[in-house]
Formats: sequence, C-alpha cells, structure tokens
Amino acid sequence: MMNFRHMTKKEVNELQEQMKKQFGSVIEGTMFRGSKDKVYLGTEHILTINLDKLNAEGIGVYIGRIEEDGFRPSIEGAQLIRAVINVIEINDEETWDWIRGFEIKTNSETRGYVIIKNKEDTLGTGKVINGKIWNYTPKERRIKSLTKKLINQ
Amino acid sequence: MELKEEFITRSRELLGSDADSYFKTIEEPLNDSFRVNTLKINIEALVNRLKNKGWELRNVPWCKEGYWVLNGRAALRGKVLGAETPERIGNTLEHFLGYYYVQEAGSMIPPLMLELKEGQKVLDMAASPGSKTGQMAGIMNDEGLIIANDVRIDRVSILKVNMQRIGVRSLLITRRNAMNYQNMKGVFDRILLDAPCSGEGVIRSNPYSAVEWNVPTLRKFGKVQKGLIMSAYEALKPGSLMVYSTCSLAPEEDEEVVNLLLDKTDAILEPARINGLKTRDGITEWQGNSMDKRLKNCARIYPQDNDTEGFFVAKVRKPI
Repeated sequence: MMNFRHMTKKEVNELQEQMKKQFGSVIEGTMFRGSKDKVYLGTEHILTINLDKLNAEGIGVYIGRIEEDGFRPSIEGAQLIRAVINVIEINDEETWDWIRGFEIKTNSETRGYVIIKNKEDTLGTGKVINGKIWNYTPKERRIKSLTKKLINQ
Repeated sequence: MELKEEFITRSRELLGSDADSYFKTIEEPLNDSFRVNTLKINIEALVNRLKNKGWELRNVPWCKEGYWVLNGRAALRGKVLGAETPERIGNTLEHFLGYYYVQEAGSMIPPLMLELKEGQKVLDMAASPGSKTGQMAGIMNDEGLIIANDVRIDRVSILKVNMQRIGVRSLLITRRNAMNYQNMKGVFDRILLDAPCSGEGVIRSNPYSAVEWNVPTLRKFGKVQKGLIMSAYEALKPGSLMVYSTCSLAPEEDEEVVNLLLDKTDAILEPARINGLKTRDGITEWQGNSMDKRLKNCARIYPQDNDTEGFFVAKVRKPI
C-alpha cells in the first residue's frame, strides 16, 4: 500500500511557481503527493473515495518529483507542462539513443533540468551536466532494441 | 499445433460443421494491432504518421481507435528475419511516447459495450495489464474515476507502467482480492469484470495454452468466476451496467457463470452486440444441461468471424 494525500492549495501554488520558473508554464489540476516527494495529477472525482480505506497502490498520472534542486517532470509531466524555456531539441539519431536510455552530448548553455524534444514530440526530462544530458527515462520505459535505426524508419 | 482430442470434441459440439474453420483459423498468425491513445494524440494524426513510416493499417470495424498492422512483424511469423524486418510494435518512438497501446482487436470489445460516459465511477475488477482500463479512460475523456484492481503485485506493477504511459488521470490502482469489492454495495456506475480465465480463446497468439488446456482447469476458473460475478453485481449501482467477459470459449467459464447470476439475482441480460462485429448467440444448453434462455443475449466471438482471438461477453443491467 502506498500513501497519497491531496495537496493543499498552498502546496500546489508553490509547485506551480517552481514550474513557471523552470519551464515558463505550469500543469493545472487536482494534485496528490506520494512517497519520495512524488507528485501525481488526478481528477476531482478521486476525492470522493476514502483513499486510506481502499489501500490505493497508484493514483492518477505521475507528473514528477520535487527534488532539492527543483521540480523534475516525468515523461508525462514533461508532455503536460508544455515548456517554453529550458527546452532542448535533439535530432532523430539522438532521439533513438534517448529512448533507449543513453545520455547525449550537448553544447547548450542551459543548466539543470531540461525538457527534451524531437520535433513536436516531448520525450521527457534530462539534466545538463558538463556538456552531457543526463537521461531520466525510467528503465521500464526504455526501448529494448540493440539495433541502431533512424527514428523515422 | 496439436490440439487435444477432448478440445476438438467440445469445439465440434459447440460449432458443428463450422469447427473446421475454427481449427484452421487458430493456426493462422494474428496481425499486430493497437489502439490509438486519444488522451495523447488524435487518431488522424497518428495514423498519418504511421502510414508515412510505411505501416499498412486497417481500421478495426467495431472500434474507431483500433487498427491492425498488416505488414507488421507478427505477419512474418515463421519467416526469416533480416535487416528489412519491421521493428516490434512495442519498440517504436510512438509507443514510447504513449501514442498507442498494443491491444488485440478482440480485447477492444468489452469496454465498448459498457456505454461509458464522462464523470462515471467505474470499477475494473481484474484490470492488469490495463488495455481495457486505458480504453475506458479514453472513452470517458479521462473525466470521472476508474478504480483498476488486480490481486497480484507483479500484475499491479505492469498495470502501473502501462497506465503511466497512457497518461490516465482519472485512476486509482488497488491490489485487493476482487471479492472484497462486494462490500462497496451499489457504488459503481459501471463495472468491467474481465475475469481471470483459462485463456482457451487465445490459443492463436499463445499456442502454449493448447498444451496446458484441460477440463478441470476450466471448472476451477468457473468456480472463481462465479464468486467474482456475484461480488461485482453487489457493487453495481441499481440501474447501472456491468460487462462480464473472458478470453475463453468454454461454457464452464462463460454461460454457466452468467447463468448462476441470472438464477440468484434479478439481473437483466441485455443483448451484447455492437456495430461491425459478428457475434454468435450464447448457448442455452451444454452437455445435456439446460440453462436460462436469456443467455442467448451473450456474445460468443470466434476467431474465424472477425480475425481476432476468441472472446465471450455478457452485458448485465441491475434493475432500479
């Protein structure tokens, strides 16, 4: 069983301010906080259920985690936030590496958490450290292919 | 594929002269199929994108979000794979992004019979891996609440990963014995009981289920399913709908289970029919035992009729 609690208005406002600062935009909606400072986006209807009684194992969609150095969106969080700043666009070949979980090189001057995009697709969140983008794609989401293919094939 | 003698005899008893067509079809490979995840992308945009990559797609007639991939890897079963072999359907950028969910066309049927609407409170009693949960969320535009339950921790983990990829907000995942939901009497507007079953109907994609097939297993599942259907009915709000489905064509797991519900409750059995899908009536007699005549309203979905797996669906309404 996992513990989730409905976030207060104050908590949501603080989180949205952080999102705005990092990415220039915010995620709206009913939010819940779980263990390890993970944040979930749900619906108002979830509030009609007694979560403690139900022993919920999961709630809504995981949108990211509040870290010491900022908010780190999940893949779905990155897609929902529609970032306008701290976005790094990568090419098709880099995309194929990214979705298999590899870090990629960058010349970007940006520091910290960045949203990774390939054309219109939002691929998730990375962190720029010493000319590389650290890849936060969770293991269970990575493409398990050894073939080096171009993304459009 | 070697089918057991008893399986052949029973199939002939159910299908008569059409049994040969059934045996032939279950030897044929199933095409890959998927459902567009409309929570992340619209149908036209994804279909155009995949067609531009060379995918040959055919719309599933009963599900506007469903597509078969005619030139996918599954169609190449038995052939030597090489450099030009298409990537696995679960190994693409679009799948990574959650734009589609790999789902057998037959498994798209039960949610379509539930007459889902935004804002409803829905229980998916045996939800993992979550193909139908995600489909229901799509139909409801992710507005309302779906409680997706499964009893096993490994199956709950798979469910979580899949629902995250789909991006479902209106979701609570629980890990309970589904029988416990009978304590939430009259709470749910809709219930899907896609019951754990022997998998007799999925021999086509999982030939191993033909090896494992035996009658005591069908009866064992039937017993569990009878408990589950009675619990589900308790949790259903008066006037509301429940769908009972299995990927088995064995009457022990299908009509006999629904027959118990009809016998013990005031349940109404509505015709389980949708446009574009060929169905056969439920049976009312099996191995000398007569059952409720209303069972004709159930749907038997045979692989040879719609190029799917085998499925069984019953649509149950609780009177006000």
